[in-house]
Amino acid sequence: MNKTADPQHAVVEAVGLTKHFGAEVAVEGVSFRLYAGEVLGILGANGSGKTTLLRMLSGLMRPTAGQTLIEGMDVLEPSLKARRQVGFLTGNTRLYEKLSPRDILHIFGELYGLSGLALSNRINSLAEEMHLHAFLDKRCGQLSSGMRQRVSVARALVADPSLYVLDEPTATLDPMASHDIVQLVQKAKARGRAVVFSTHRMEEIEYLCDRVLFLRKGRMATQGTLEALKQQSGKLRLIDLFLHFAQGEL
Amino acid sequence: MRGATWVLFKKELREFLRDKRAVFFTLVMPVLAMPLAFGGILYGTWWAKQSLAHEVLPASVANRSMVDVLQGQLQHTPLEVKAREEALEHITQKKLWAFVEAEGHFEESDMQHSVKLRLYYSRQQERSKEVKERLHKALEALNQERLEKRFEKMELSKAFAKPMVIEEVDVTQQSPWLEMLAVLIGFCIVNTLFMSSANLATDLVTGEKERGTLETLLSAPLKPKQVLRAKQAIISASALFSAFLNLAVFIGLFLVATWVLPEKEWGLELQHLHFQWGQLAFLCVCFVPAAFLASSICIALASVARTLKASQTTTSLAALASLMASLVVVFPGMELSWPLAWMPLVNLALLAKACVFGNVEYGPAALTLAVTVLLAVVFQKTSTRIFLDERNVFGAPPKA
Repeated sequence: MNKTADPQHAVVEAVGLTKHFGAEVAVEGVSFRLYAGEVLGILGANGSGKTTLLRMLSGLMRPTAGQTLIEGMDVLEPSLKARRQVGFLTGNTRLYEKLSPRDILHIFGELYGLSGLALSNRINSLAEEMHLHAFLDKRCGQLSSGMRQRVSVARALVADPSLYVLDEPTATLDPMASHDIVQLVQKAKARGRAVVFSTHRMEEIEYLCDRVLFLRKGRMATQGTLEALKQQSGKLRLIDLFLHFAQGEL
Repeated sequence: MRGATWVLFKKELREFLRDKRAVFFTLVMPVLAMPLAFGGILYGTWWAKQSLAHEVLPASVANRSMVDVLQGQLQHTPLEVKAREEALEHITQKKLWAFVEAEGHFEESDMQHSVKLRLYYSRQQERSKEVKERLHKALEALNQERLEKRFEKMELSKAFAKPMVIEEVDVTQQSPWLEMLAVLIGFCIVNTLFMSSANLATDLVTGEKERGTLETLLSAPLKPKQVLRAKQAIISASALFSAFLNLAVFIGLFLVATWVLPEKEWGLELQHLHFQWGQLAFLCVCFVPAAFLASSICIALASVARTLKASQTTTSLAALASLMASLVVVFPGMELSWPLAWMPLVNLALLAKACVFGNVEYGPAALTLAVTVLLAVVFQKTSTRIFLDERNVFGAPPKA
């Protein structure tokens, strides 16, 4: 399993991703590559286009121009092969209150093309890994927010995709639950998975990300390793770096 | 329906069946509440009329001779003599229910003059109207009796007063209750489709958006069209189930009524039910595209709404429109014809009515089916476009 990024294996290639809502520009011409075992942090102020960019990366939203390639395949191609390589999780992702975690994992496993014994085994191993056994058959409406987020993570991981797209996954969580998510990203990185991660928590960026990409008013302000960006801007603290790249005019 | 759509359909069904409130309001309420409410109203009306007919209700007249002549012809209506002012005051105070006075001699004095009678009552009081009817009937009988006496004196036969006697014969032997059943089924069944669709579309489309689970679902490797198809399948199936159950409950109530209620008093007979199985089957076939039409309209409205409250308002408009269309069956003389078969929903309500009478004409019925299928296809395409619009799925983008 890879511990560092594999530059030979680009899991994601975003090419000139652009999204307009009528006359309003949400994202404009964002391009980057992400390799296996690499974590890319997406940073930007509220309304800078992070969520729209992540939705286009995971195929939820159709770009006005540009495309996303996952393992060399367009994420919007009709066979959905590329979409099966993406696990998407947001801090706002909710669960079905009337269904149990087992039901949800089963449904999403089937949607990812798993079935029968392979799916049952996968659910059991995820339940083991994410400590879900105690509430696997309870209805999600009865679970605490921490339990729910663990179920959401398991749901995103059910097919063990090669790309994780995580949109502010820790935004609504307490420090313990946030820690679990950070550990999950670490493990995914170690397994050679590519991770796109958006957050407002600077310590998570510093701890997890190999590279960061700053968005400003829908446009890419800059991207690179934290060290390179610190040198480029002359700012040593991450919050100063954020203010430098995420604010002001392009 | 295969693959992802089938998985989603099972998921929607499981969620729906576990939501007791949704099951109750979507299926039980529209299905049972309407027939039971209408049944209750009908029985209540009949019972109240029967009670009123046997209730002792006093009236008054202007002089003693009127008591002597009329009292023998009246049941449950004791008469007393009162002055007009006092009687009218008592009618207002609900101590008395009607008053009769005569201009001229009430006694039968000669054959040359008529006596003018004035009957006072209050239209606002049901009891007063009942006593007015009793007095009117007694006075009409008295009038006829005096007329016949006059003919006798003039040595003319009784037939002189009635050169023609008209007798009506209804060749269909149609019970007024069957007419009521036809109107109720026509009125309720289309409305049930829309009420059920409106409830479920609000929950499955807007509710899922508001709860944040729609984005969860769309993050899975599936096409948004498959999500829509699964939702539409469950909404249509539940609406169809509600409508069929509604039909069955109404017919069941009629059958139970013919069995339980006294035939003489109610005039209910089993042979009044003219259902033909072929026509009933055709009606059921027509309701399949109608259910898709209802679900498409409600999904489109629920997709545009941002909140559950807004969705409840907009989908209620669809239910209200169906109610207005179904109302046509209540108007006398409205039957399924070529021009009316072109009118969506109205045609279905009239087809249901015709089905109860067993007199469906196959030309207009076939046109009804064609119009419903065509509209279902058009609205299916429209609702797909609206549901898939990213502005409706994700909401407006946040301002920077």
